[in-house]
Amino acid sequence: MTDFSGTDETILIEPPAASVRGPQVRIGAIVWGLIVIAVGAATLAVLGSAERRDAVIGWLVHLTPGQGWLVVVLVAGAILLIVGALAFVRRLRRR
Amino acid sequence: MLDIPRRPGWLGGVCAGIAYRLGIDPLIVRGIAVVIAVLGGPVFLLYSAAWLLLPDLEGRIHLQRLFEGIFDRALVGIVAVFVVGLLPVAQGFWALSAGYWGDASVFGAVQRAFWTLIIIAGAIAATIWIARATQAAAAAPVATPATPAASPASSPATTDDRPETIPTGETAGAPAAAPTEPVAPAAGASEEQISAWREQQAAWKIQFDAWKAAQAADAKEQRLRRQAEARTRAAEAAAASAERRRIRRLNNPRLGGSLTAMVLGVALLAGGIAAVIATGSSDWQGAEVATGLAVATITVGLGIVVAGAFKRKAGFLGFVSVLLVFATVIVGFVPRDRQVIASIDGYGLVTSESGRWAQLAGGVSLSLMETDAPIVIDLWQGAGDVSIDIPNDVTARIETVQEGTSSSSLVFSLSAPDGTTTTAEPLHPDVYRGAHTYDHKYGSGPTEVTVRVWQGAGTITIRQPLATIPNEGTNQ
Repeated sequence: MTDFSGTDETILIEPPAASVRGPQVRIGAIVWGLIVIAVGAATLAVLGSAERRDAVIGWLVHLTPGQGWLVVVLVAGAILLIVGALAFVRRLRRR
Repeated sequence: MLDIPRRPGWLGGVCAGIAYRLGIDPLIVRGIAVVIAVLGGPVFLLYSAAWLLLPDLEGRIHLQRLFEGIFDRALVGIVAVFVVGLLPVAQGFWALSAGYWGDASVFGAVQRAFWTLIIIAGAIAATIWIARATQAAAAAPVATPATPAASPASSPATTDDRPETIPTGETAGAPAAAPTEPVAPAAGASEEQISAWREQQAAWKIQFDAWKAAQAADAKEQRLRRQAEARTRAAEAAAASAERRRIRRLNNPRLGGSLTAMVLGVALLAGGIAAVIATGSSDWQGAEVATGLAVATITVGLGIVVAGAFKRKAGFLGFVSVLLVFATVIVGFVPRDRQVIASIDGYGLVTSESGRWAQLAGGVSLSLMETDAPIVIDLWQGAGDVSIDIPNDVTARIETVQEGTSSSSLVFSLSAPDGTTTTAEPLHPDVYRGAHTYDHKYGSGPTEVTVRVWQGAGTITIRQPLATIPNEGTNQ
């Protein structure tokens, strides 16, 4: 038999704030995995044809500074939306 | 303030703290930090600042403690990270290859080497200084308010050889005031007065030594007690931390090494097979590496999704996925049907054979020469300068496309025999599909060299020796 008295003692010294609630489906990881898949798939789609590749490069080259900032704003908005949604889901689960 | 306490991590715990705050795996934050550092972001400087300014789990801030005169050993690490951030090597891998921004000269290299040496010397000096200060802070006795400013060497540390000076319980409890020295007699005092004063002085000396020894013993006792308390607190904190970690493990079971290895193995296989297939297809040829990376990225992403659905934490897969995403995007958009030349200023390109080249940014100096058979030189440049030198005895056709119409220019210039440019006049390209296009034949014979330049933004200069009449030839 294993003696767990040492472990019990450490629990007595400072009761942990967190509690064992068991593992849950990791929504954040799933969303990140989907983003990774999307990046890989989009790259494949662009690589697959010369026209699409030229179109993407042409689009990049023709971006004006204003359009560039617009892209940055859109990306930042998307990231905020995803992070916020994940935080919201976590809060709902903690209740 | 930011509510990001540093947590036990690899270095200062900054990434771990951010990851804990965001509720994601620390390896993802570390991966992002590494990628940003490689791309030249000031990660090291920000890290050292965060290490210095963010509190740890017990609310201690290194900078605040520094102001209080307490030298934490972590300061050595903070200074080291800060100094590493100043090194040119740490400012992105562009700095290693001398240059995204085109400083490839020997002078620049020497400057960088000197800068590196200065920084390393400064780092060594700062480390020695902080290490000494830390040692001094640790060695200095704990000062009590009533302790006179006596140097530790002169005051007895123990009462071992003076049993009569062992403090009673009362004196040990509250620090007693130092006994006052008897006032020296005036200048014209009698022998008796002086001898009385001497006796008083001797008695005071004994009293004072006893008081000093009691103070020292008291300070030592306090120091030992504090050390014992600190050890107990540290043990308690470690135990609580271990318990929190145990519960976190229970709430977040890991994917495990074997399954992680399996996912990575499948990713490698899928990527390799995709690369092999790409080799055999005309559409994909030349993009084998990018195709393989993209397929591996998709596989790892699938692994992360499945692990998440099965409630398993896949920290290492997350780390790998961050690296794969960046590698895929970067490799995917490097031109693959041509030779990529270094992003430096004034890259000299002299050739008598056909070829295709690409330069992301910088400058290319293209010198044409006589050839036996007609050749085609194709150059792609994202942004920068291209100069084309056409000798008198070479008939060349120059075709240019400049995409950035507002930020591009095309000029013709005559160079004197001594190498100086005498005149430069703008050429007037056509506008076709939103780009400036130019097609002109220089010289009167059959075309020997055809030069095609595609430029995102920048200047193209066509140079001929002074003897030639400008723009001789025919528009195509």
